Amino acid sequence: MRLRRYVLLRVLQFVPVTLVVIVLNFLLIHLAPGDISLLLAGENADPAYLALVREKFGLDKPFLEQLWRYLVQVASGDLGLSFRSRQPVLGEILEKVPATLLLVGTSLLLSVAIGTWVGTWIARRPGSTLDSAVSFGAVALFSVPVFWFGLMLILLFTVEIPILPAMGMTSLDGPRSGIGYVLDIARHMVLPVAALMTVSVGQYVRLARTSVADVLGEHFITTVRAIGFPERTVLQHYALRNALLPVVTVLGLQLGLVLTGAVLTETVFSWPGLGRMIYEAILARDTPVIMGAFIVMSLTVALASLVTDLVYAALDPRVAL
Amino acid sequence: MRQVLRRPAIALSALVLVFALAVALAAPWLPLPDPTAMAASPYEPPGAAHWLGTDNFGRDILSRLVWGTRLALMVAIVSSLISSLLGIVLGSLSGYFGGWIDGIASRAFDVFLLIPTFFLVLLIVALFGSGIQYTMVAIALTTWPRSARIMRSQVLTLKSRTYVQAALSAGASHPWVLARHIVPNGLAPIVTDGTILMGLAILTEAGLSFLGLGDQNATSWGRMIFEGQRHLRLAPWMSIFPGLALLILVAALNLLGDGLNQALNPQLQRQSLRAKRREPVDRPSPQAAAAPILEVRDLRMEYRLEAATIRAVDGVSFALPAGGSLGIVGESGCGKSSMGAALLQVMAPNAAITGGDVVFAGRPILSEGHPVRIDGQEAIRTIRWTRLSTIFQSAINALNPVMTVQQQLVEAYLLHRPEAGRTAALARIGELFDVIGIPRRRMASYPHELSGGMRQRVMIALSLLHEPELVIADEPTTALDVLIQDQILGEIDELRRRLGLALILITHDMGIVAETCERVAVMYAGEIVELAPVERIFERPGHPYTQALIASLPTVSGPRRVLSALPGEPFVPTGTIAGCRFAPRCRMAADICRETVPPRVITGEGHEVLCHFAEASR
Amino acid sequence: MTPLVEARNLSKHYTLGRGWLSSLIGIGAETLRAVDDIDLTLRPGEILALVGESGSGKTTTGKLITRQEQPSGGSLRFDGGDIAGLSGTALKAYRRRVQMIFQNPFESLDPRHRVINTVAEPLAIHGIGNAQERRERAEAALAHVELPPARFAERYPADLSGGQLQRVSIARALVLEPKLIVADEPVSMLDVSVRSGVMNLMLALRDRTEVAYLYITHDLAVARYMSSRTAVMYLGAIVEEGPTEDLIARGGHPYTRLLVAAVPEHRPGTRRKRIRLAGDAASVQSLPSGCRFHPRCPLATDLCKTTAPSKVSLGGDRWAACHYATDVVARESLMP
Repeated sequence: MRLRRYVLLRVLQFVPVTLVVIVLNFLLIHLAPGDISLLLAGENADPAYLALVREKFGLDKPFLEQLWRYLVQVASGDLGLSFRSRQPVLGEILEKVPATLLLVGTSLLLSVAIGTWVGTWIARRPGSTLDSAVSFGAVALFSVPVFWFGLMLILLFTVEIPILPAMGMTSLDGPRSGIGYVLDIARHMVLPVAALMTVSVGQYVRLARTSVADVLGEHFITTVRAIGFPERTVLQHYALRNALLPVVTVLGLQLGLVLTGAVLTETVFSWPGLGRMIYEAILARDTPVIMGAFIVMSLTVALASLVTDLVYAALDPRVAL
Repeated sequence: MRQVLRRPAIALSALVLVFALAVALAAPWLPLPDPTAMAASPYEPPGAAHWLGTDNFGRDILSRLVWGTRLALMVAIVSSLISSLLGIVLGSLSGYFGGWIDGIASRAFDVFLLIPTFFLVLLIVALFGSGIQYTMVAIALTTWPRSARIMRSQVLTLKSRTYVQAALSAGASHPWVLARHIVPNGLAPIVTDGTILMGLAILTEAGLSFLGLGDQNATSWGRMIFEGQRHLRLAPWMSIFPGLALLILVAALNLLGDGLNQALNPQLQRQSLRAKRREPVDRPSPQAAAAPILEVRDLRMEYRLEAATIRAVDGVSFALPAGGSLGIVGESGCGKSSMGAALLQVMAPNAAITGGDVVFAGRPILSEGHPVRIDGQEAIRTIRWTRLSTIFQSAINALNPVMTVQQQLVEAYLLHRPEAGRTAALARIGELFDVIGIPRRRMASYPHELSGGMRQRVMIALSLLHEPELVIADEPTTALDVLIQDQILGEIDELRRRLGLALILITHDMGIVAETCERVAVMYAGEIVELAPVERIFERPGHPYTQALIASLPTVSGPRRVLSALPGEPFVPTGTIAGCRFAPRCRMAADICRETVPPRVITGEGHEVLCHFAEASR
Repeated sequence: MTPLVEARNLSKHYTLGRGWLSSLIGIGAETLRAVDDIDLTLRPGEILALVGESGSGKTTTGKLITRQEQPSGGSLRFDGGDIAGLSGTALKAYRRRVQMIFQNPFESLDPRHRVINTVAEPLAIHGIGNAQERRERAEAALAHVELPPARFAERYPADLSGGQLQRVSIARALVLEPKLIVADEPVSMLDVSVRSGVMNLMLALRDRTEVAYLYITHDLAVARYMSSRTAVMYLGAIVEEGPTEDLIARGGHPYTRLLVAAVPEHRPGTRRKRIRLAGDAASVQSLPSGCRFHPRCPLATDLCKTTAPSKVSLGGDRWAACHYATDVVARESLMP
């Protein structure tokens, strides 16, 4: 009952986020220099299409009515048409989601797994040389510009020692089905995933380390040690379980940074996902696509934060429901 | 400040930042070619003429790098400054005034925090054009909620600090309190986060430039990498060096933020201190013999702190007969809790036992400061919780917050009796709950759902799980109200008598030992200064410290008398100690007290006093 | 003689709001009766102890009298004038006459300010004197609390012990020469050996300056040492009031009796029997019906479960809010 109420409350909080994102988008269009209809229809749009756009957004109507129309449109999933393809933006975006999801999902999963493992391992002896070295490395790692790191990987593994592909998701002449296809994609994923992981793996190492070290300093750990549980049980069963909670929350907040990294990584590796699409839209000044991407990315991050909050609430009995 | 700079990570990153700042400021006067001049031949590799080579237009990369530092630092400083200022103002107001202002503001922080910086910047730059000023404003506009949230939580903590309450109740206005007490004390984490924000701003600008959305007229590291990308095979140095510069500058900022954070957080510092412990020694399995339940000889334990080593327990000896009860009293820092931890061999990482013998029911568990191993197993592990257990203070986190009480008790039961099974464990726990007066239905509660008194009863149940022979209770009622304290002490006393337990009760409260223990040890500065039967301690105290303690206690019974106060501050046992530790505060102190360590004088049946004048004060 | 402080039916109720979203989906608010209809009188130069356990409302009462909190009901007068409705400059003027000393000495002083500036701050707040005069008055106040200014004025709080910090707090409270000091558990966080020094100092200062204290404590032994009169609070209400010695020697309310009996101390030659109580304290969020103490009271009858007791006079200025107060005060022991 209390859980259901919490879920309801938390889901309701999703509404203001959506509103703010859409209104912000709308305001920016209006504040931008130049003719709004040209921003929405493209600079070389034909007069008929221009008139259509003016009509659709009610550009001759009062400001608030324009805002209302815009809200209704976006809420019904209409993000406008791309200048270049004249296709609905939402459809274009959804089409690219699987490729990006594959990249982002794989690297996040690996980051969390590796980061938590390393972080827990060094947390046993805070302040040791190993801890200092790994912590230093972790900070350095999330200072790496991901696009540059991608280039360096290409330089190393494609130019100097040509063992891995650097472009795209599949080989031109590769198989199109079966295990061969999967392996081909996997080979293409190695470098972009490695590059993208630099965004988050360092964060998870540090987070897990701090979190586990904090829990290990708590009184109840003294209690279970005194009771006589072996150190391995203390660490894995008691400390890690409590320490994972903060890791869960950060997962949601981190997604914005990881998606940013994804755009840059996809650009470097010509990965046919959302990031690549955004890059091309930028080159072509395709405003509706950029606006659509902003809305979709913001809502994705908000959704991720919602999900992590709910997971947290389910895991931690202390959350005031 | 000097302390902070002594950390290598901070010193190193500060050095890098000072260097970067100097280079950026001095750029126009450095003997470098014009960064935009296409003077040299293109694609020249690093060499004597051009240390870092030239690019596809023949521009000097080193010079471009130096000028790029200006841009990077400007972006970092301007955007994080705007962002922090916005955050400080909005966060302080929201946290300080609370109520509906805070309700709306903090929700707004949460909402804006979710907007991904980079994508908003992309949109702004796509709509407004690629001026560096738009980039900086956009970064500031999406990062301020970070500072606002930090400032808000700082203010929420600080405004309940009593010095803020004190200023307000003295008549101070809200602006006065905010400006003089709250903001100055709350700024540190904002500054720390500011450095991390600067790194984020630099990376964001570089990423934008890399996508071709940077300021076309500026020399930016991101743009250099963007240009280098197309010549990766031919001229890798075009992208390698600007990337390295980015990495070093951002890493310096992040390491500085990280280091400051650690320096400002003493908790993190303490974690890193470790004391060296003694190796276990093997002993043969002992023959059963009638012996006291616990015999402690010359026990010593030290804490390693940054500045010094504290001899928290410094040569403590006593014996406790089976079924007996001993109270250990002393003021904060006297070493009483450390002694309890040393007996159980459960200590903080920066503590180590440095000497002494402990024998439990004829079985050695500590020998000259070394843990004893019998038949390959550490002796303490064979008795801890099964024969020797402990009741911790009822702090909320003495129990695992995310497990139910029942789960924790069951696991503790099965650990030592794996063959018994879950049903037997539950039966035993139910039985114990009956004994200590908790309704069985509360077994499935989480610790935070129980009152302080209930939690303390659970701690008692936990300690009695395996029917121990000796229980060490460390301040078992300190956090509790008087009536509940009285009930719990009554229960402990009754259980002790009924089960024939021996009890060591550690407390700061003389009154508690008076009612619960047969014998009392008074500790001061790591030593037992007096050990006696409880009536004797109160009626004929032998040590001036004990006398002073008793004379300073207000009472509810007996005639009202003027209390005497003890001058000075407690002695901290560190370094070499000459004479009596209590001498600086002692009304009887003579020259001998300051020069010679006092002897342990037996002044009566089971009564020993650590004082040169013990005979005289009898 | 006009009482210094006179509170009649003073109340402080909090509404536990749950945010606008919660109220939107129909989660109601709860009322917390932190202080519920209390009467309190304090004469000039008197020391009144306010005794209670955690959650009894004793600290909130202190905050009402110092007007850190706004009363939700009842009247509050100081030196004859109404203070419940004060605001703005009138409130600021009132704050000169009433000062507070807080429980936690380690949090009472701004760590970034030197001791002398902390003590002089109230003078600066009220714009009294110039910097030089303020400093002189602050130094004098430090001398009064036995902290020689030459040694302590320029130190930071981190360099002082708990006892010394609490003395600085007392100096800060004294510097405005108030008529009343509300002291909220000023010694409970100090070690026993320095506790009596601070208490003796407070008593000596009272004798010299004729300041009155409202001394808030959970410790009856401390109340006995410090005060001439004591009021006992339980769950937001005063259940008994009277001369401290009489009240402790033989209380008229069962709660007072239990509290006195529960004080752990060396009582030569006696091993007392404990009365097993029926559980932990209720909370002000869910007050029991009738007498608020009845669920834990060993003497409770059906009357106590339904009807809230009114004040029963026990002669002189003693009273207790118990149906059986005259019976209780006559009993040797609460044991049936």
